Amino acid sequence: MASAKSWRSFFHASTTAVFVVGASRRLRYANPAWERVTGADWAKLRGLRLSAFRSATPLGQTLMPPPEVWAGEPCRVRRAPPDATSGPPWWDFTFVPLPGGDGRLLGVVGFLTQHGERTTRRAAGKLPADLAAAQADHARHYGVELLTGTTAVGERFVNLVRLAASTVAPVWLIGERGSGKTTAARVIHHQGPTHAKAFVAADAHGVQPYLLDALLFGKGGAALPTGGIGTLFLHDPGLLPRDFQEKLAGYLSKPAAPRVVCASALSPHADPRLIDGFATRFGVLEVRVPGLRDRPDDLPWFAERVTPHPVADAAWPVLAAHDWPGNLRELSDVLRTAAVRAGALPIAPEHLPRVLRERHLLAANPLPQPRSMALAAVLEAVERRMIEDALLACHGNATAAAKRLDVPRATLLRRVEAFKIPTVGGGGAP
Amino acid sequence: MKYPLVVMCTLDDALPNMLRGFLRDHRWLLTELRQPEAIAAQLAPPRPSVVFWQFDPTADAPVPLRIVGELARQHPDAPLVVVSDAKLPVEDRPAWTAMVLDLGAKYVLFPPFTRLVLEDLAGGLMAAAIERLTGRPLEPLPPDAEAIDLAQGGHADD
Repeated sequence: MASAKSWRSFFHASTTAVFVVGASRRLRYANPAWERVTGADWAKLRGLRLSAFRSATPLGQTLMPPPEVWAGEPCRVRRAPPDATSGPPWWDFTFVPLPGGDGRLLGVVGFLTQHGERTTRRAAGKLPADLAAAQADHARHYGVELLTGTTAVGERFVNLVRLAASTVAPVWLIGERGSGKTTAARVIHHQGPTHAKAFVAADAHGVQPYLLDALLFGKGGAALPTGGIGTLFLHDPGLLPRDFQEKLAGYLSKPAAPRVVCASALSPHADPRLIDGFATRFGVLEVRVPGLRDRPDDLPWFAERVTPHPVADAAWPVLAAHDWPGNLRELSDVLRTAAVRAGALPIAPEHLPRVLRERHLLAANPLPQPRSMALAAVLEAVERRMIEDALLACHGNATAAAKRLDVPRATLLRRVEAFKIPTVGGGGAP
Repeated sequence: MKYPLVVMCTLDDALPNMLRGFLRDHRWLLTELRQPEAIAAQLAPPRPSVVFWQFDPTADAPVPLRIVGELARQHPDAPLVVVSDAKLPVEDRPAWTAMVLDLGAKYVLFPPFTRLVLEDLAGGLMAAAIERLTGRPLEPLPPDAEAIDLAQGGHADD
């Protein structure tokens, strides 16, 4: 049987990093290979306490065998080195428990190998300068000229946006789907007093409330005091559960809270899904975002911004005939699809969707207006037609026609006079 | 309407593998990319799309987050989920989260990733994208044929 001194010399000569942890969770042995991998001095670390808790040193946390090893099961784990949050390099551990004769665990032998090369890494908490430049570049795209257009409707809307951007008062944008509420909110943020901080959009469409909660209030969420949110944009807050609305309202009423811009299709005071006080608190300045059908003259202006692809003159009447229920989003989809179809050519009517072309044809060739359905007019037309037929059949003889219609001759003559029915003789009584 | 598309630009196959079955059940297309510059080409024809983009915030190379802003401007209807490859310390996350959201991302994820969260994000965002494009809500999947409906058939102990 080998003595303690011989197994130590055996491990000491090995090129595999080996360490031994005692039952008291303290480091009892480490060989020179272990010192090379960890870069630590064994003489200074003798008796190091290992623990998964933060009270231990980073190396003590990394070297700690997992619970199943203490339960007697060998185990392999991969961990990042103590000074890193992620690899490479990775430390691969193989832990082997050492059971004693009485069933108690004497300790654990750990074998350590390193995989991957260490790369130069930046301190994660410090945002690099190129990202700040990207952020500034992104903000430059959201000027008020993005919304201006060429019509009075557009001008009125932009004036309201300028007013909203000049304050930090909560703004409520009201508009149909696709009308550009999110873009308007971004313009208000980037042109407003909170532009130095971040614009954070919390969209209840498609993101479950628990995910929004985690994004805003979770560990490391954007709403932590260090988050630096300038504007919180809530898209259709009526979709949020009422308890989450209350949580938001509570957070946003604090003095250091960001400014709030909400958007929905309804006025806040007309939305029954909102909790009491939400509309009053956040619907201070209501701005209506006009739909595309409210500013048809701006169609070429918006088209130019949606796609750089040229549009043929013949296509404009087709585009103008549509009422654009999907607003700018629909216009963007239509023009992007048409641009793909057109290839190198300008967008022509045949590149546009069939429904738009048919609508244009109908607008250019309207259906005949339906005749009046007033009863008096219908009866008059029938009476006139019957008198004309009777006179024609009787060759203009009023007496015979009256007899045929079963009315007195004087009555027939009065109706002929009233209807100004031409007679055989060219006028006057038949 | 073209088939809905999920674009995943990731550093490895781990994230696509977690979502593959879910996307197959919904008959949504999955495109895997390694170069973020290729994402825009996938979104050129209008269709309901969701983009997952993974990056390493601690990498020495410049992080191409400028792409997030460009995608958000050019394709505002394709929600973008930015996934961090590194588990940043809690105190470092708010600055990254706020910056990525400011650039136009819809959501930011940090490890560890769970299948449930990924499925909820992909499913919810795609349903919203389909509703935006068609004006109609997404029809739910038919119930699993193997599921036991206790209300319908009664419990075995009854």
